[in-house]
Amino acid sequence: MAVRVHLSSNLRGPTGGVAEVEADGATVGALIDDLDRRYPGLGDALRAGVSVVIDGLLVAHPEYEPVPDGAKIYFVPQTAGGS
Amino acid sequence: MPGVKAVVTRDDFPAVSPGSRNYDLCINIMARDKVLYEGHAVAAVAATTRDQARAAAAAVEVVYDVLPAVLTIDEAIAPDAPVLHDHMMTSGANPPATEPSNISDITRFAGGDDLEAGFAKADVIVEREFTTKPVHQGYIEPHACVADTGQDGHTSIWCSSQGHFNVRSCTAAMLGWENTRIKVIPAEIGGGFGGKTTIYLEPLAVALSAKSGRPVKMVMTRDEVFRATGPAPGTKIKVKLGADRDGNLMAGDAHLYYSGGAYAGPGGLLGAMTVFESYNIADFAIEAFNVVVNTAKSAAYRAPAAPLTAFAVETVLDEIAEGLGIDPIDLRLRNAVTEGDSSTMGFPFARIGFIECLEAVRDHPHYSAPLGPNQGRGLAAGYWFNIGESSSATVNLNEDGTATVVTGSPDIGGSRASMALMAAEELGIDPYDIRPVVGDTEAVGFTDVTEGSRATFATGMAVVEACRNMVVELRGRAAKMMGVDVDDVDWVDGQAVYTGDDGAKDPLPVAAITAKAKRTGGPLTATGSLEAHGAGPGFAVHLCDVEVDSETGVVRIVRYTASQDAGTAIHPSYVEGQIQGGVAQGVGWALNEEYIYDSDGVMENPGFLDYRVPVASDLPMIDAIIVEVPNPAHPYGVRGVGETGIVPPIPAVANAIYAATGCRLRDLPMSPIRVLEAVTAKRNGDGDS
Repeated sequence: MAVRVHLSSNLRGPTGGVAEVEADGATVGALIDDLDRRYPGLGDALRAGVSVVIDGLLVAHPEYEPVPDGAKIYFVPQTAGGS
Repeated sequence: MPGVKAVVTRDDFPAVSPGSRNYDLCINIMARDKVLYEGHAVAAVAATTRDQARAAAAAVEVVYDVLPAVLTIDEAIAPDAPVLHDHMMTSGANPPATEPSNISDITRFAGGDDLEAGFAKADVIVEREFTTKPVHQGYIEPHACVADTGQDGHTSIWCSSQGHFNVRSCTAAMLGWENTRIKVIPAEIGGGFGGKTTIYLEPLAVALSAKSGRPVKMVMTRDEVFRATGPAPGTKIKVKLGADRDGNLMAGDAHLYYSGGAYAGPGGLLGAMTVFESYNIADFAIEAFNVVVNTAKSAAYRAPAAPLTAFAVETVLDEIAEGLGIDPIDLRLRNAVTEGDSSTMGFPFARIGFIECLEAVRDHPHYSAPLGPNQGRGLAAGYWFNIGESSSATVNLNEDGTATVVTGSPDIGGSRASMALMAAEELGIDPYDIRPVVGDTEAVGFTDVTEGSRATFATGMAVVEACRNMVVELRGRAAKMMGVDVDDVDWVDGQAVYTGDDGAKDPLPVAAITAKAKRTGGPLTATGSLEAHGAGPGFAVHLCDVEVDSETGVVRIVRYTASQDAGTAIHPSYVEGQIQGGVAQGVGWALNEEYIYDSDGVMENPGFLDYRVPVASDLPMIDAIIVEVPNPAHPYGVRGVGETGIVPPIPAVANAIYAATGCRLRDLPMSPIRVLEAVTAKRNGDGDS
């Protein structure tokens, strides 16, 4: 089932600046594969290091994270911290 | 030379190439083709005594082909600047970079429909530029380690760090070894604050130990800590904000430059992720650059990058509030993000406590207390996102019913006490019957670095998981002892309680079950390992009163109140300590601290005499208000608390100085000479206010 995907603005080059797109995948990794098919080059950008927010939860390393039906997935830069 | 047992140089370590994992780390620990800053190591010597080692190190001859130094952001980004790294092509450049430069990467975020249209709707627009210098994390214990490499090719390292698993993997990468050849035993840490999330010494000590066949101890001097390890980056930041007459933020534009020292740092990205994150701004654009210069490679420091973006945004907001005649808290309340609002990166915030922090300060007696002569009051807010990452915990129940909780998170701010409290809550036993310890790399599961305010949040989740697994085991053991079905046994207040209908049975406390563990299945051990999702963002609001001596420029902090959302404060006095520590460091950053270099890039103040951090007598009692808006992703509602507290102090102090003097200071540090210059200029009628 296709879900809505929101890309942070630094990731929108391959979509021509479009913030929200549709994609299909049972896991975030499969979602990225599908996004790469639809928007060539986007997969590389996403695999280079992004986190996702799914149902309000920030997931730092999401490749195998299941994608719930009807969820909206937010791709954001991967975070690291200091103290 | 007498006493010399081993020498290592670049030739003793595997070659690395640009783009390979840990490339920057490896060539920072030991220079290869180019020495990039004063303090960059070129050789290491092991000798029987410290004096012999020093003499031998001094005898090392190095022939340098001296290159021009690039020391500031402006010098580094100038069109004709000498390039530090021939391979550095700016990532994120548009059009793509075709020539190397000193800008490693550019991050851009934008939101809304039309930035210019947004500013056109504004009734007041303020645009200002800010500069800051590199600063030290202020840890007292210098970097130190002991390595003992045996003839079997394995080594043990004793060191204090913020992450001994990271020490292991970084050391292995530098040496070209497998991780399993290295055991790292964590020592107590004498302060880290981000500065010990990376390594400098350990691979050198291991290599020297392997060559000499003896244990090798390395301890940096204070001078070496300043010259050769990483400070927080210096910055140049321009922020423009526009608001309508009611105080609604209509548009924001930010240009951020972070100096990573000799190698690319993450400051630009982190600055971009934090600069506008606290407020709803209809239209915004952010552009952030990471720049390299000929100074030591920068390192993390509490909430990396965020104090500097807060300095810019929160002082510009102060100007807007004054210009519109709006109370500074009311202005922030009008624009503050809350649950469901969109972050800069587009996702909706879960439950957060920014508004509660603002209200806590507004309702505090400090907010309306009268000020004395030459005093001023400043307000500022701050944000840090916090992180999750991987953690492991093991709970061992002892024969007498006490417990040992082993985690892999070095305790840099009281996290062990919090682990014991959470375990006590889960197991239902006295916290004083729980011994929380930090295990070495062979004694506990993999655990990421203690950074990003993650230990109590993420490792706490692993402890809770381990304890819940333990309770399952305890119920099973109790069922055996009672001769009943496990489904008829609950765990209530530290006891196994029979809930079936086969008559009454005495509850079994932990000690009764552990005493018979040999007969019910053996030792009671349970583990929890996880990748923690759902780190809860932290917000803070600070209120600072200063008194300015207009004859000397000295600024004295006379009162300070800080509210911060801790989610749930597991150990309130440690949370209070984290808030107070962040304030103390932020005040030092605001008023005194800076790395000073001469024109050749030689640091001129590499010691705590000339690099002045605040001491207890410089600060009043810092009144910490712990706000508790639980993080829905944590079993107890925990948010990280270690970093957010350092974000607001710089603008809070700057705004207070303005209130006291009428002078806006936008360059750090706001040292006596700078304050005096500003006050004098204003007195002479040519000051910027």
